[in-house]
Amino acid sequence: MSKLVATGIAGLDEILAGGLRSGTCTLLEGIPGTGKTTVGLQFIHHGALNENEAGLVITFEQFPEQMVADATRFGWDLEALERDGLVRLICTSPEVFLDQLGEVGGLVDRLVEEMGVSRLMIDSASHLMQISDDPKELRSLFYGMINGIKRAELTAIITKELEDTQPEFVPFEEYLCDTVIRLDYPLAGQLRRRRYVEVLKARGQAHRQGRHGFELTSEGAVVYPRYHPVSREPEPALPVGSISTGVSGLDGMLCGGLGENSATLVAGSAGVGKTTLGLQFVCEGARQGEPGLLVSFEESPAKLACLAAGFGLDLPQLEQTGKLRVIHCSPLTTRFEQLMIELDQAIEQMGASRVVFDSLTDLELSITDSNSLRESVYSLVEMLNRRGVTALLTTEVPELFGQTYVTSEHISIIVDGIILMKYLELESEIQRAISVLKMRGCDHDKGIWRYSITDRGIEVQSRFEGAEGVMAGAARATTVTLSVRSFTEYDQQLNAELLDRFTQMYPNVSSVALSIPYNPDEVFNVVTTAMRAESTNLSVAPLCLYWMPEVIDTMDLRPVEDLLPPEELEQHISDFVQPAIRGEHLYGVPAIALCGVFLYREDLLETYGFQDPPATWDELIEQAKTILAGEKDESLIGYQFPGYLYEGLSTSFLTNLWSNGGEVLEDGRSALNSDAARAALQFMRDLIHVHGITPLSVTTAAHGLEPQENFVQGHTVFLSMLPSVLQETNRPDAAVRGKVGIAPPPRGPEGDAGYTFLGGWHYAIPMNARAPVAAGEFIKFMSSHEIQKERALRGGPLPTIESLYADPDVLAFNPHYPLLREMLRTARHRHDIPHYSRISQLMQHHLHPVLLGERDVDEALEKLADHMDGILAEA
Amino acid sequence: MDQRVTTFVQDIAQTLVGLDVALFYQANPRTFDTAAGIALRTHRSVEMVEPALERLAECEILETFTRGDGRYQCYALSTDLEVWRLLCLVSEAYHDDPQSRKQIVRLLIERRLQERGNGATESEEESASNE
Repeated sequence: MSKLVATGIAGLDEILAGGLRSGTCTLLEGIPGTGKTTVGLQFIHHGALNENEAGLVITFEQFPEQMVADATRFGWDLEALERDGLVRLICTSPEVFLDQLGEVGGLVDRLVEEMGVSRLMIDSASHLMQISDDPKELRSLFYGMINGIKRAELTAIITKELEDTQPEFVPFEEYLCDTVIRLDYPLAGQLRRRRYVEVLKARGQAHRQGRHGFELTSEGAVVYPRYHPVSREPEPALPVGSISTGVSGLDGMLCGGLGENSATLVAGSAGVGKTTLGLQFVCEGARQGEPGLLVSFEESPAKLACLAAGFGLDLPQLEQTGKLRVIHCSPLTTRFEQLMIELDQAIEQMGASRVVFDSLTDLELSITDSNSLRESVYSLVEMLNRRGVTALLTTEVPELFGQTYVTSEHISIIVDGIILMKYLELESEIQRAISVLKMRGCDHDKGIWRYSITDRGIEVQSRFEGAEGVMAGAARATTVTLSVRSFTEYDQQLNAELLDRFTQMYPNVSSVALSIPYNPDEVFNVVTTAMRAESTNLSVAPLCLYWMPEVIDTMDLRPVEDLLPPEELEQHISDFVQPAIRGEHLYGVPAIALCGVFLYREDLLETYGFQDPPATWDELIEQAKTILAGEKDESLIGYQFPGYLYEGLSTSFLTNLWSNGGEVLEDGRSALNSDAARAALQFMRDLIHVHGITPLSVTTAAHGLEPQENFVQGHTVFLSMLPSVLQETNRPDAAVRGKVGIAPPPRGPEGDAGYTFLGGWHYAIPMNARAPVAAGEFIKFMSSHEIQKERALRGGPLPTIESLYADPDVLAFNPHYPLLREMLRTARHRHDIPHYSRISQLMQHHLHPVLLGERDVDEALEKLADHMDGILAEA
Repeated sequence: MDQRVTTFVQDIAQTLVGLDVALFYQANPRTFDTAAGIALRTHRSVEMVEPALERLAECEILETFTRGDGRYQCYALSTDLEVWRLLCLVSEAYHDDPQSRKQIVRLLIERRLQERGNGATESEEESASNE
């Protein structure tokens, strides 16, 4: 292949893969004003000035002096080059030139010999056509000229005037010339014209097809080649959500953020916050050390800086540190091809990994042909993808409200993701909604979320619940299903009534699930499994006090302090509020208080002359034995406590341990291999196997309800259980109605008092809750003073609101509330024991065989202590 | 007016067409063309231009090139620097100095009138009257 001759027009040489083939003829055609002569002269000037290749300009019509003068506009001093013998301009007739070209020793031969001319420009071929009216003769003349040029080994550009850019037939010159370059200057819209260049033919050399941008600048002709996609090997994997948008709520909707190396379209009407989102996106990247570029058509850098400052973002500072660059260009003067090159180079120079293109709507103005918008966007996305950047492309939708068409040019299938931001009218208010319509490789949130623009930028707030047709612009109320789990089976009926009432107040909530395992360990599994699976079905999570801290620390919950104003929060007993606080946030709203209680049969104690319930273990054994002996009822049980493999067994042991002066931990290590612990466990074992006042069945009561049922039916004298038993004993059909008293648990020989354990339930909202707003309303309702009082009046679980323990109405129905409040005050906190859930399971595992009589107390506690220390050390 | 200009007008250019052609070559020194080509560019007839070109060539203001085996002749500006300087002087006087321009035209008209008395060609008379 012959060597390539650079035209000196960088973009054109790129399209031609280096330049024109040496010794060939190029037809440069175009309508008037497209820049043919300028391109030809640039070819000659570049050769003379930069390549030391002499050039000859033959002009048939335009006088060389005019050309020389015009060239000075571009800074080309042709006269100087003429003086140096590197350029020669000749004005002559076509006939003379043709003749001279063919004559041995003629003008051309002489110049080739004298000056070493290797470049030729003929302006223009159109004048050759005036020589004859005979097409055959003209073709022959032109053919001869081409051959003469080739014989002289000149590389020539022959300009030709076009009358129509879409001729019906192909002129013979295009067949005869090796290369055909067409310049075009069509209307862009109604007011402007844009220049284009296209290589129609390049015999024997590869070239980049299609129309490319072309401009006449102060330095001559400039060509902006269209982006040329390059195949990527290997293909990148599907994007995963790891690039934070700078808007945490949106990141949550996007599985953590945008996919790395993805392009996401942000569609929305004017003023909805698209640019703000773009700013937050690039600034977040800059904050993380990832350089970013922001292409802005509408907003100037100064305006953007001002806008960003409103959100606490310092754009100028980020620009100074090289972490951010703003490319501001007018859609009226910028052409897409030029912008692509600038963007591509800027990305490479600053190593940008984030790009915001604001907006595609403005880009349309930079593109003359509306049909090529899609192709242009495709090129843009392809380039960004090849550069490995993560991009946000904004586009404006014309509709402020109502049905929204995200894009009109099927751009949506080009991008990896689509985020729709729009206004909507709901409840006589203009609100903003954001939704992720598409995100490749991510099981993104499908909800429609309310957001606002604050002094911190965009803040996603809550899902639109109780309304449908929101994005279609025709919002209307609908029902929302809350997947709420209730607390206990004791007050199931009461709960059902309350929930019915809640549904009447909030008709959007259609139903509430009430099932919940009695065993709080099972509730723990239900809640944590749902949250780990990021289930949206669990809108209200019940949290048991003893494992609540673990859930708050390890799971993703929504802060709920907004549900309770400070003055309402202060009404709750502090012991229930503090464990739910982390930093400035509250993650659970107290709803039910619990503590272990010791219940006894007042009637039986009175019958057998016991004025007070047992205060010590010995008194418990004595009173139980006395009553059992006196009653001679084989179905009567002396004392029952939770002894099966569940949390109840742990609380039974801890109650006796604490009531005997023992502790679980001492100096961060297990304190269970102690005399107090041995005495407590021995006491529990002996109740079954030595004293015979406790049946072995307490170790097999699978759901923990059998001892309670026995007591309510009048078959048990003493029972350690939860206060909720009182609700059952007050049933009209209960055998022990009016015969039950409560007391602190009996103390051991080493204990100073009987200590129970603190318990309770909180309500929380998982981060992925489908209906967080409705959940919040439900939580406010269920934890309110009004509902807690009603539950207390109806014998429900203990309230968490302090004042209810002194409320005359409540006390009239619950005279034991002052005692219970005192027990709550002195109750010990399981949730203060580190890793309590695991330690509790360990206790159950080691203690249960002792109660069964299968293991020695010392051995069990020794192993338990060892395992506990292992857990603590591991943690 | 510079005597050299006067001499050029009277002795070399001699006619308005001759002055036209000389000034054309001063303005377009890169021209290499036939009488027909020069006639087209100066908007004169070939019959009027050709004698002027011949006269300028005779006075070594232009160079002639016989081409195409003698089929036609091309004219180009002399490469002599003195010629170029002289033409620049003429151009300045004609284009930049109204008084000199009037003088030049008057000289040419006087010469035409003299030649009329001596049997000037009809075409030259027409040309002069056009001026």
